[in-house]
Amino acid sequence: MPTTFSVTYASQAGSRDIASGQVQIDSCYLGWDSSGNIMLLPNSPNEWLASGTLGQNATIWGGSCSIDLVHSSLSPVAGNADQLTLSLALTFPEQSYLLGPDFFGRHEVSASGTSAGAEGLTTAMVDLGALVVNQGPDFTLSVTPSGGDPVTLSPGAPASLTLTATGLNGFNGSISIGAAYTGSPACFSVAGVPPSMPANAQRTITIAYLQTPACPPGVWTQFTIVGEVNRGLPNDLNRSASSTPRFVAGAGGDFTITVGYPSAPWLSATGSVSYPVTVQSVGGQSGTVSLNAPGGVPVGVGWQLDNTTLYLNPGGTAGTTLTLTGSENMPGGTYPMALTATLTPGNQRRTAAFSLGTQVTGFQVTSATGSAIVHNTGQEVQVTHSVPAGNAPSYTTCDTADPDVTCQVASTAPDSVTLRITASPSAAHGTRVLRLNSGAMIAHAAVGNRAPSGISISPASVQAGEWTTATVTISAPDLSCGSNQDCAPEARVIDLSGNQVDWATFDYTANVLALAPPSGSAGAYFIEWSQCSSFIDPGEDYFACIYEPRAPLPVRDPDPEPPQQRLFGLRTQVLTPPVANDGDAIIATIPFTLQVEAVDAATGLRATNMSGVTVDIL
Amino acid sequence: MAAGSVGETLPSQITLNGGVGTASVTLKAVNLTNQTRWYTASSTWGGTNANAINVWFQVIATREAYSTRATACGYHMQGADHFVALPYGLSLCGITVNLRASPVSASSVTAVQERGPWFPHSAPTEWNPCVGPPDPYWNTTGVPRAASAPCSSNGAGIDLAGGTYDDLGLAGNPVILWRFGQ
Repeated sequence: MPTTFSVTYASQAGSRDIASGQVQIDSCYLGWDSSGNIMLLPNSPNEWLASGTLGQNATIWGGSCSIDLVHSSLSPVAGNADQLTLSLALTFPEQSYLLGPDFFGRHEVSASGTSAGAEGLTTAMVDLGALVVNQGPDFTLSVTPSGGDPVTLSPGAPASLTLTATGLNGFNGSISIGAAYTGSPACFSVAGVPPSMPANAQRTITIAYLQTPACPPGVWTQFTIVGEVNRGLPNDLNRSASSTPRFVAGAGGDFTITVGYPSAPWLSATGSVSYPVTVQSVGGQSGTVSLNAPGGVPVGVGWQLDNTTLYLNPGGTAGTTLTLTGSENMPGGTYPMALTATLTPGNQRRTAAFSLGTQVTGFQVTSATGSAIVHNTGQEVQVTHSVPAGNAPSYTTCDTADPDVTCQVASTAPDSVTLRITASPSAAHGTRVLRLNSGAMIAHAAVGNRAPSGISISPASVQAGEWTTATVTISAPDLSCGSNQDCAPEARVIDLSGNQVDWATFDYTANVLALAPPSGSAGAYFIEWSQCSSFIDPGEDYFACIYEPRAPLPVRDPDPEPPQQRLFGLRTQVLTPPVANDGDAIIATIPFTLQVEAVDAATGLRATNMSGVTVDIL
Repeated sequence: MAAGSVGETLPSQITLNGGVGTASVTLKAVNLTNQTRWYTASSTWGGTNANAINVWFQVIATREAYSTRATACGYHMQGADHFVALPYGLSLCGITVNLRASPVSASSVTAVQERGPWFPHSAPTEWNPCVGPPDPYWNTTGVPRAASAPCSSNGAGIDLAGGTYDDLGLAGNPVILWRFGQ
């Protein structure tokens, strides 16, 4: 309801001498004249002077008040010809109609008048006391959490906020709701901001990080919920909640898979080897990890995973065991293998590479006096010797003259005998005579030097599509090539299937591999190194080779191109132009905000750490 | 008009933080009858940007009284006419201006066909006690001299012919916006 407010003016020259006047109740500021014209002055340059005529069927508003003109008047005072009374039906909204500061509380009232005489005298503003405007129906908005420390949002892990609207002084109407964002709101999805909500109610708002190439970890947003009632009316109320915390995008989650050391260095034909398999959460990621069948399993080798799915808690680890079982059909050697796992959700695939060494349990030579090759590692080698048909031996013992070389009969058959031969590390390279059944049959064994060693290569990896050379180093070159020998080492590169690639050549004089992996060839490869001697000792027709355990040679995709220095351009604009639909328009004499952005025109990304910009306004 | 010479607030440097920077600017005038003020932003890393700002003037408007005499620009009024008067000389005759009743209302485009209000005026009369030279406030302070001149009863900075006044839906002597150009 309007407040009836009166001011009485008096002039010793009679009421007709009172030409005009002004009344000010803080930011409610009006002027009138004796013709009944009245105007409400704006209290900021963004507002408009509102005018009308007393008695007119209209309401005008400006600053922090409105006047119901039909219930307002300028009239003489009965019985006093010197006085005029200005009677106003005033309403004081809590905020100005352009949403200025709240107006409730105590306000000083003052007025002045101007005479109509030739001199046009104007009184000073006369203090008429104070007016108290009570707070009317109102509301508040709050959002929790608000402010405080930044909140990191990981992909797939949204956060929730609670929006509370509280009615004041009996207000229980509907509140129009909006949100004002800063930062990079396009990198986040915000759900649950209602277009409107009743007072004394709560709503849940959810915010999630949208991970895209344009929204890398580190982008942020922050927002404020704004509520409004009576939009466009004199009693328009606009309230906002405290800003939310700054939501910062965190790194995406991931996981790793590792295959640990095997339970035994070699897989024998009758044995098994177990590998511990561990998956680990990265970046708080959780989910189910599915293990694929291992890749690169040699023929004749069986495998079993204790678990093919593992559940990862955030930050946790989970494990299972991969067991490989040997058979007599499996080939000997070292085999690169891989175990791949897939994480749900996210579908990230991670692969662990490892190798399997198989121990050949038997081979045949066709000579009754065939030879065996034994390395002086202390590791037993089983050798099966064929014997001519019809001459089936039945051997039970085997010995040598060298105490560093031992020989035992493992088994005998009508056409073969299998020997177990071991050369201790102190055994010298060369041939040994093996005596079966105390010399009933003679066989030979060739002992080769083999110290524990390994291949190293520098650089440790190469890049697909680039030519490079790599130095191959054997930590303990192990074949003592005496005179009259041909024991040039060989190094070759093989793929996961064991096939030698055609893009690697080895210069044994310099121990250098020339590598030219073609584009698209990235993957796991291995270096095989061997050294064979066709003459261990002069006059002996034996052939011996030394093989190093395969060493990995990863071929990687070309390094991603270093991020090019973006050519940032400048973008300028007038923020919140006060004149609608006229581009960068401003009003003379009224300050405005000019914004300059350094942006990548291609991506729209803003530059960071840019220095100042020189502005020249013409 | 020399930029900055009439109390304008013009930044020479804007510091960018996180790729964005702002400055508070106050413009008061345009050059001659230009619609815009131009500015350039340039950086040490080579980025430049030039842009234009439409400059509006916010003044009290009055309704031009109908008269059978020709206007200063030689225009013969016929009723419901469309033109404006600005307090300057005949060089403004025919210059296009854009008018708005409020910042969010539609615009109305017309041309200058009259001098005034209030200035230039060489001798006081019953209807115009003001005396003074032309007042190209759009080239100076952005505020009409009449706004603070005691001789002016309404402080108007632009006069609108009846048709233009009605097109804008005006009543009384309201504050309106105008600028040069379409």
